[in-house]
Amino acid sequence: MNKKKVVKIIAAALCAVLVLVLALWFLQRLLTPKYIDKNEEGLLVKEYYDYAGGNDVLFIGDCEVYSNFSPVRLWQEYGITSAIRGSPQQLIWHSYYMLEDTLRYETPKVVVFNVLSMKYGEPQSEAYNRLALDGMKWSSVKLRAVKASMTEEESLLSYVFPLLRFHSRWSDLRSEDLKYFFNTRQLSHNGYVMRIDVQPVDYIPRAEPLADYSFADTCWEYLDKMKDLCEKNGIQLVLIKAPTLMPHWYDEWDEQIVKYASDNGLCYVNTLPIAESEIGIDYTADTFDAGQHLNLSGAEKLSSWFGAYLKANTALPNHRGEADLELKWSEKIDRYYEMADAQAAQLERDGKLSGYWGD
Amino acid sequence: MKKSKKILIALLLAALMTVIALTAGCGGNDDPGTDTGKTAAPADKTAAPEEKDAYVFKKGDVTIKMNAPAEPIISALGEPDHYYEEASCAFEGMDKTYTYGSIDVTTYTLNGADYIAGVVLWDDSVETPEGLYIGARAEDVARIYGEDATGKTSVSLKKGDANLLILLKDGVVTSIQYLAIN
Repeated sequence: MNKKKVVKIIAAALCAVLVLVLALWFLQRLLTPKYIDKNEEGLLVKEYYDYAGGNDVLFIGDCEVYSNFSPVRLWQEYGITSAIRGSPQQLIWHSYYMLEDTLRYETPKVVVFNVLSMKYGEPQSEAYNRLALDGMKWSSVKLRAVKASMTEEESLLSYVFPLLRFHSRWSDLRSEDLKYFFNTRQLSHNGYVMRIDVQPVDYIPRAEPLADYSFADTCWEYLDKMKDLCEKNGIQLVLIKAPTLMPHWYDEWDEQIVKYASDNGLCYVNTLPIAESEIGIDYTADTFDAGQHLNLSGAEKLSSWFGAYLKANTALPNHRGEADLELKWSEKIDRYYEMADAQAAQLERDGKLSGYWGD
Repeated sequence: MKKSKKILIALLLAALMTVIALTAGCGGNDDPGTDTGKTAAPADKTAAPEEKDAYVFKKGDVTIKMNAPAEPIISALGEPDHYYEEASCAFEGMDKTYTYGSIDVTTYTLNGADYIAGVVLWDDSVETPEGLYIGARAEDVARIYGEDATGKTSVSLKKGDANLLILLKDGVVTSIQYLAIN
């Protein structure tokens, strides 16, 4: 075989490989959920990389952080720069690796961890793993996060190549899969997911007694790891329980967190007992789903109170007046109120919210 | 056709075959958006276990079986005193709680339908079909269910796809709960 033929065969092989790679990339991009028309919270973890850097406070946790805390309000009232790395039913090992991943981009001065996820000692659902991990950029941190999180039915390879997980979505493809093939929409405001509608609390089910109120060993291990990682990086760790009424937060659970915080010199605040009296939460007006999450007015009340708490218990600077940050945050504020206005318009028009963007 | 062109076509076909093989349809739920967080459905929802094969609770004439379709049971139970819906953080479907005086009935959603997730007994005005009630003694648990509860704070009994959880304090039953096993 002469040299020319060898070159042609190699070129043909490279061409075939290129076609294969492009086809696989195309299919993966097409079939991977876009999280625009439903399950929009699937956008959150990936969005962080757009606002990474320069955040003095990092919130980590489940919907109790991304629905309840407004970084815009913290900026407006206290000049605190903050970001939320939340995802639906984020488990504590997810949160730990969110922190590790964040440290690849910035070192916040304060990390706020919402402790509700201490109740889960085992992975609950593959779907929530996907929402927490698929959006995370690849690194050794993500590799360890996936290994720590996978349910028995999952494979590491399906995280490396999501096409292996989503390949049969072809029969469920929707218009958003084509419309947002290249681009996506920004859902959050530095991680905060806004809802302005109201569904008041009129009844909370009785909390059934549990056979065992102890948190799982694995949860304590990850809380220790989180504490150690914060210490190593000079970060103050603050523990919080957001003031949402469901799921139940048992006194027996709270006592364990109080003791842990006390033993380790950490700040911990359970906002449930003070939600109405000190924070000013009105459960007939400040929640969009009968006490499970706060709406915008509730999140702003909580953030106003929590900003003061942070000022009193940490050494966070006030960045108001710094020109570059004022410019950066004014753009965020504009978008924040645009979304609030769009939701209000949709509520008035349709009587209900059908999406976060109000369109 | 030149040999190199044949090779090129063969390689391209191989590439396309690989793609087709990878994307060949599989069954199952491949969209996290339709996952309600429940791990798996019982094999056949329409064939709920017979009463003798699983723990059930009875309220009047209504038998409440774990993992049974909720609609006919809730309808038979009538208007609840209270009702609460708890959505998952992101996904469709609701965990629902129906309060009927001294019992709470909870349901979960799977593939668009509701199923019985549990029953909680709250006071001694109700009892299990076998006769256990809140306030009964640990000896009663042993007599009724054959499980020694002396000195224990909880007893978990499994039969069929139901878990009967009995909590005790100082030798007295303080809580009785039926939990669906998925």
